[in-house]
Amino acid sequence: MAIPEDQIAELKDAFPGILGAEEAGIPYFLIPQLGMPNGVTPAAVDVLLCPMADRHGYPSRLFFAQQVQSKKSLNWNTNGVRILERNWFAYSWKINQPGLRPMQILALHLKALQ
Amino acid sequence: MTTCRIPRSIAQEMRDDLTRPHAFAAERIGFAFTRSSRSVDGRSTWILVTGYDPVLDDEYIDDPTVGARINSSAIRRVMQRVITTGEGAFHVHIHEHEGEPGLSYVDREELRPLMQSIRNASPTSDHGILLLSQDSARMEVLSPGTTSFKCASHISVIGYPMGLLCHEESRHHDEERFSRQSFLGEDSEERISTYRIGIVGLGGGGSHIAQQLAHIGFVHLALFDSDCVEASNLNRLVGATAADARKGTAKADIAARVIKGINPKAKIDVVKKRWQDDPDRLKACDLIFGCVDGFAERRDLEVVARRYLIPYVDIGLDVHQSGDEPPRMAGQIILSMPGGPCLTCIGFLTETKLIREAERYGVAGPRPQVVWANGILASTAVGVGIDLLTDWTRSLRGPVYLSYDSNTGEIQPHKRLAYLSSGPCPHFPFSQLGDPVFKPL
Repeated sequence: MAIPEDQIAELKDAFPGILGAEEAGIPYFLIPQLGMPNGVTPAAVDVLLCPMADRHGYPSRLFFAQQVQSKKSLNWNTNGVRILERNWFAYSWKINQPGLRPMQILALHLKALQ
Repeated sequence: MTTCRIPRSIAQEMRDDLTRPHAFAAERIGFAFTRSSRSVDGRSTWILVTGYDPVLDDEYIDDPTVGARINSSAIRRVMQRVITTGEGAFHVHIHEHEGEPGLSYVDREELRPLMQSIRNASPTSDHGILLLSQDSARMEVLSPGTTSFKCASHISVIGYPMGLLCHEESRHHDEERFSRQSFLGEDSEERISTYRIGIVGLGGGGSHIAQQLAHIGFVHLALFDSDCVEASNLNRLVGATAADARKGTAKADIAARVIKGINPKAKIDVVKKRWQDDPDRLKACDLIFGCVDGFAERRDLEVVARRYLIPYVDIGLDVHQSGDEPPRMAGQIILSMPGGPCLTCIGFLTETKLIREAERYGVAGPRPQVVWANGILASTAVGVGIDLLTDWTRSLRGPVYLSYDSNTGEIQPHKRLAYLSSGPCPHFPFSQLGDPVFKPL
């Protein structure tokens, strides 16, 4: 499923350094050193946004280059999954996303940290 | 060490093009395009062929002093492609004889400078020369930041069957050892001694595979498992003892011990961690047997195998029971060949299965497993692997998806094979080989 151009442009506007790549038929967006919500350490970390059903059974996923610490206890059930030749970490977080844009999906995943 | 892997479809396309007669040129020329990857320690390079472009008939210059000379338009096209895509380019031609080919004086004097100039246009990629013969090949590689060409040590053709065009001399000949399996083919011993086989997961299935590969005579084996043996593994894990279960011996160490007992000359790479934490050792394999739990784990293994043009043989077993019916035990053996249908294409991996697994947080749990069913699946997988590597049946020419019904003892081609669509796998195009390419949006 192709992501509409205007939704990609929205990501690009928000994150000028964002990069795109595809693996196993799934699109990913790499956002280098994304600023984390207040209270999260480290304050910035590379993230990989998968805005559609990923290859691990989630409707969308936000992967982190490392586990981040937040006040909220999260279920980091993906540790070192290899995507696009890099190991990534993710907490289990499902969002009801029909019709949501990638920016909204990203925001909802980050909300889990708050 | 530099390894080049060429998909069989592209190798065939090259050969078909290069052996066509031309109106005046004595030989034909083409360009292979590649993507590369380097190991973290910088000692290994993988060059993966993504495509081939023939030089067009009208791009040859009539020059009887050389086998073939091409004009600037052909070279411009190559330069344009490497600049646009970031791929490497290799000048390809063929010397129509058997055995290892060598560059002629003209080849050395003209092709190396040509490829240096292409490197100037795209300095961060590997470029060079690929010279084919009827049954062998030579690849000279000009790597980024270097000034001299170096030869690839391994060149293999990936497909049905596997081809070995160039490899380091094997020093493991043992005619007596191979005497009962010489029917596998004249060069089977050489192949078996040369290929590096990876086994991921050394439990019920993988331990059988390790043992059998050692008996067959494989020398280069990479064993991946981060687990240690427990008492509950003793019902099926070949080579494990009660003492191992008490001590918590690593499963990979047990497999290595079994292999060494059968073949002391084996060179075993024991990886007692997740393959994801040391992927270069997996990328170096010529064939991977996956004996893992869970669908997502299978997908992850297939992804890396596809990216590096490595055939992947998957085995799995499950037991189901509903109501008062007797338990049903069933399994599968699948060969996922780069370029061909993947686990998703053949309908084995589905979104529904992945979602269900994720809902259980990916934990497969203590699945029922038994030694005889593991053994049957493992033996069948080894048979598929040996056929692929030696082509002894001369009949393995397409996807393998076998289903095993342990209750009836039947193994048969899965019915989904009949409904496979032809054409390349849409999930793993050759353009995505090697290191991933991130593009600015």
